[in-house]
Amino acid sequence: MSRVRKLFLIGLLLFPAALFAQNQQPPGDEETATDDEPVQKSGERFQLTFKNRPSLRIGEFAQVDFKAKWHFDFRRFSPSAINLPGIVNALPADPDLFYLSKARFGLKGKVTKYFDYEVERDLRADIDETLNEYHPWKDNYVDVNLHRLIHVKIGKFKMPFGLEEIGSEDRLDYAIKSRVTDALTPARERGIMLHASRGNRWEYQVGMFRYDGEGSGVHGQPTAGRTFAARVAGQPLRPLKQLPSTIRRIQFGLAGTKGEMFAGQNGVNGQTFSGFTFFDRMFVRGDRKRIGFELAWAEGPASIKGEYMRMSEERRQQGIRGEDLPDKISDGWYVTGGWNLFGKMKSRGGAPENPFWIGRGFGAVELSARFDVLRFYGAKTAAGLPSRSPRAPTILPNSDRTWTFGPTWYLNRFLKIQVNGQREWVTDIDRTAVFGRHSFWSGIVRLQAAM
Amino acid sequence: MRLRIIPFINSFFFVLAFMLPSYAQTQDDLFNGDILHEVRIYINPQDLVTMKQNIDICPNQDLEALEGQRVPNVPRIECWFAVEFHWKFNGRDITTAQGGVRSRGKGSRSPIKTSFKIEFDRYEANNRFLGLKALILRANTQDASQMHERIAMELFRKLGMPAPREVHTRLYINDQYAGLYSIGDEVDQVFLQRNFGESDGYLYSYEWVKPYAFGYLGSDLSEYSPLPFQPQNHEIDLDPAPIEEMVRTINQAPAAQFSAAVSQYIDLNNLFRELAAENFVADQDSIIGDYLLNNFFLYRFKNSVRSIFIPWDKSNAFWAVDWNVFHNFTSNVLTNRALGAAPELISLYRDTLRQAADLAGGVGGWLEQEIRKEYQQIQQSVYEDPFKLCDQGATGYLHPCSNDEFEAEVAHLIRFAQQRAAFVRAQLAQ
Repeated sequence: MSRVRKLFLIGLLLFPAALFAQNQQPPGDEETATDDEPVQKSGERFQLTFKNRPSLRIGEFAQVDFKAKWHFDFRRFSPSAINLPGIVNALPADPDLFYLSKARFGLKGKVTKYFDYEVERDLRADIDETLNEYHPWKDNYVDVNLHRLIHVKIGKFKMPFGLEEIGSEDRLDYAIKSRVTDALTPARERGIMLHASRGNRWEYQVGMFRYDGEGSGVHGQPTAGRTFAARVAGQPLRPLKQLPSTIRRIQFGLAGTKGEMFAGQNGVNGQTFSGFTFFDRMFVRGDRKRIGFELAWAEGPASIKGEYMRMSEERRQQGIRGEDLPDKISDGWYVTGGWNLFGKMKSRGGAPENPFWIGRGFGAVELSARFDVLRFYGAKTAAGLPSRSPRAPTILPNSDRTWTFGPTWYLNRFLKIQVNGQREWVTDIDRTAVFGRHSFWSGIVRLQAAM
Repeated sequence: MRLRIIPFINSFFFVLAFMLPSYAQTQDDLFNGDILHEVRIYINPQDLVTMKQNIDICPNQDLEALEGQRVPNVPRIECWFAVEFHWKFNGRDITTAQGGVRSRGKGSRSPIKTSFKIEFDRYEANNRFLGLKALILRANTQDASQMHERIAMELFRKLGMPAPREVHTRLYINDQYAGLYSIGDEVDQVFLQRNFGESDGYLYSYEWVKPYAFGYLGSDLSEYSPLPFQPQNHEIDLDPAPIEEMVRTINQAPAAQFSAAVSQYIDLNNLFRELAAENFVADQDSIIGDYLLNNFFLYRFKNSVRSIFIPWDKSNAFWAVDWNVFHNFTSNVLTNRALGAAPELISLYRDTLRQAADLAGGVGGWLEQEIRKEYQQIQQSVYEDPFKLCDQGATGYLHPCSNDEFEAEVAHLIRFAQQRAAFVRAQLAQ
């Protein structure tokens, strides 16, 4: 790609941010659901505003918002180089110190009150041709509002599984998702989904998808065919008035997926954040099922969130002699807590009330810590000793236990800086990157610019 | 009290009686050349199809390379599959935990009769089979007699050189007879430990990329490794500098100090003995064969810059009875310079040729006896082998091999055994 094209793309993405920097906002504005600043209607048929993001409104008929997201990561890993493990076929390269993990540009809006839509593409592969971005198109869908209880979403979007996964990445407390979310959630896929919600009180999603999601793909190829997914979440304790209000606001969720895998070495694998494979893909055939439980609570400056996920993958006729093998099980959980150290937030993970640069404040700082566990093992013991072979009747288990911690500085609604330290601990010593060493450290500083 | 002890004593001897035979099998049993062995391997049928369909490249690993993962810089990216290995010996079934298997070979590689490399420690770092980390199951597809490799390596070892052990076996894949194969040593840590008492040095296999005969390729280390000197261990820390120094010294050492200078880098005595053995067996594809450097491993000793050569692949041995004993000596920089600058090495070379001639003997000598013994051992299995291939004349084209071709090559081997020693002695006498 020519330098001119690269500069053009970068300029295109930074242009809106430069405009926002001009918007001086008075402190203490009223909280809105989206953290967006209210836009006064001009009464003209066509209205172009730059208040929160470049936005074109055509009366009450349609709205087109321009979106941009940048994640600039500075990373360190220990160990930075690794020895050849016995069971992997390829070595992960030393990860780059600087990494552009997100460079997205898109449109989002609505047409009449019945249609919402979104189009989004990651442009990293256009900027850096050496990068393999198998799925540059992200959320691309039309959402038809048939009824307050029935919305129909068609296109490509996140499958409804995994609390950490389905939320916006821009609003996460960490620069790095939990290992269990990374490994076991299906992420985006093309499909059709019925859904509706009423604030935090309740929500549901039921969908049918073409494949099992990009998250479980191998080299950009899907590993399972048509997949069904469903999720319900809400505050079931809310009607119990005798309980304290803080307890009544605890959010619970339940989700599941089911799809038929393509036969082959298509089992979900486990990798450390630095890219080392500590659990290789296994040969699978049959159904892949997921089930997940969610829990979230927030009160004042504190919040706690947790999830448990379990995935079973059938291994029909995958033995060395073509015999059926016990299912492969992958499961894990995380629990995370955050504390708003100083500065008030309009909403969790959103914008600070007193923004820095575009306001007169310092923004807000939140401290967070998370512990997560990801495990792989067999559903039951079969003949023979436990083995790491991709066709092992009895799977030798492995797990990755991860601590992640660090502060997030919300400068304003466009910018935040996250500093995360992460320690991973892999159980099986023969599947670690350095012989005899269980633990891996990663450090990341992320500058996020999003609108 | 005494009555209580007796059952324990009986139990002890009972258990011991069962344990002893299971520990009785050794590598010597596995490489016992007096019997035709039986090996059974089990591979998932779909894996077998995948292996045969992708005999030259592994699509998965190619994709990993494309994804930006670092893969070994080798001409071929190999596909590994899970395998169960069984050796039938004295009515017993000796096996171990699942290992890994891949197809192997260069010109000999074929989806019809595939050579295999079995790695017992592929998935379990500590898994061994009779103490071995890996084994080769050689299909001998370039050799109609299917005996070249085994006989040549046997002669090397009898001359006191470190060389892989080989025996013949009937191979069954998923209980179907797959043909006559050889079981061979892999040159790996276990081999190094057994032969040199250490294994932590640097092991390279020589990968033929283009004709090369120790000419100096300049100071750029990447000209030497990972190709053609392909690392077999220390993959992260290749350390090819001593190879560049070795080649530079071979080319640039003054004639007067040639032996002393090159000896810092190569065990020259071992090398010239090996060259003599290779030319005695008329190996057309060896260190000084017709394709220039090929078919050897180089092991650099721990904490040293000195290396030793280890022979590999003798499919094209026994090429011709009248193979010149100084064949290609002038084409290789090392041997050519030794001709003028290292008379003691040439003398050693000649002595080794005489030793080989004495060992082989003439009519009824050891070499002929060995050929006849192996022939008796394998003839029926070769006849029953529906997949046997051969490539007489090293044309690069493997074709189905007939029983007549097998018999003709055995006859050639016997003729070679009867006449080669006399021919070598006559040449040395000139």
